Amino acid sequence: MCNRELVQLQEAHDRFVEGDAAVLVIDAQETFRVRDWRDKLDSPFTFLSDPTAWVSARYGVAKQIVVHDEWVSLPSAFVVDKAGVLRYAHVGRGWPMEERATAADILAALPK
Amino acid sequence: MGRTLLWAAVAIAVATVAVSSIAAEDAASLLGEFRRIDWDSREVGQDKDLSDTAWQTRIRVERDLVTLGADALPALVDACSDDSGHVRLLAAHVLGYLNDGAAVAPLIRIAGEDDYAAARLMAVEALGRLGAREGEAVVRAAAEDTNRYIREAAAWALPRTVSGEGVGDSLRELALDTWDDTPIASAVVGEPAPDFALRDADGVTVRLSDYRGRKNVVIISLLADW
Repeated sequence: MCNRELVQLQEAHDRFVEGDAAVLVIDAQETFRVRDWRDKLDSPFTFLSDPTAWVSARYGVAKQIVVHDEWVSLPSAFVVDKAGVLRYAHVGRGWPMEERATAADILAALPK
Repeated sequence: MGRTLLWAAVAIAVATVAVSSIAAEDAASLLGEFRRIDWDSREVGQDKDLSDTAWQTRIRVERDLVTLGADALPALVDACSDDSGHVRLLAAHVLGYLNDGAAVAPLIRIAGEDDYAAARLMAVEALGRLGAREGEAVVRAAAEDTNRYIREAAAWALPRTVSGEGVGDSLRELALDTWDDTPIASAVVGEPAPDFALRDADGVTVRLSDYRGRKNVVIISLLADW
């Protein structure tokens, strides 16, 4: 996911609320950069700072491709149900972008 | 009981000596393991092979070098002059965690002269993390780099090199607290999601398990924040 896709997810915010889902955005950067970005996007989501990329590594996405001269995470989405079980995982390749998870994909994966 | 404690103390002392004497060799062998991977062919996001696990070596080597800390420093300083840009980038990244002045000169050299843009970018970031005042000039120059992403990294790093206030030991301590024995790539659909605790944008710790029994959770992993 990058900026434009995140804006699309934000547009679906009400439907995540209806689906009783909290949205956590994990960014492998230090907190001050994550804060700056959250503020720029005026996002209703919870932005988490993963500067050591360890959570991203455990979820199998960290530092796998180079984009703009940095090793970055694969654009990915996961759904965890209220029992704490992983219900959906979509690990995207960098490109083509059509392979990345959309808001509709993620909403469809929420437990009914 | 007293004897047990004594033996425990002896065992810890012996283990400590053993760790420091093999550490330099460990750092060199970790760097060697990293160097053997063809990273150039893995940079591309188009049609990436998702079954390729080489990235896990990058994560593990970074983790183990940061964990070795000061013991890895001589090997990391040497690695700043390595023939491979990928190794120079790795060294710059790890040195950004270690809060040691010995890293400043080699990082200044990479930030100012390296022909591999990714290594320059990482060295700029690391100089900021070190709060290296001696790095201010090179970071200021990087703010005018022809590469837009290096300019952005320099904009973040510059206030830190001006104030001399970097991350101190906090980033390494956070890393050592965060890194555990959970395997890399251990999230499996149908099984409990690996729990985690991360700080949010306001510095408040959020745990995945905080939501258990209350909400579904959507986790979005970002490619990058632009």
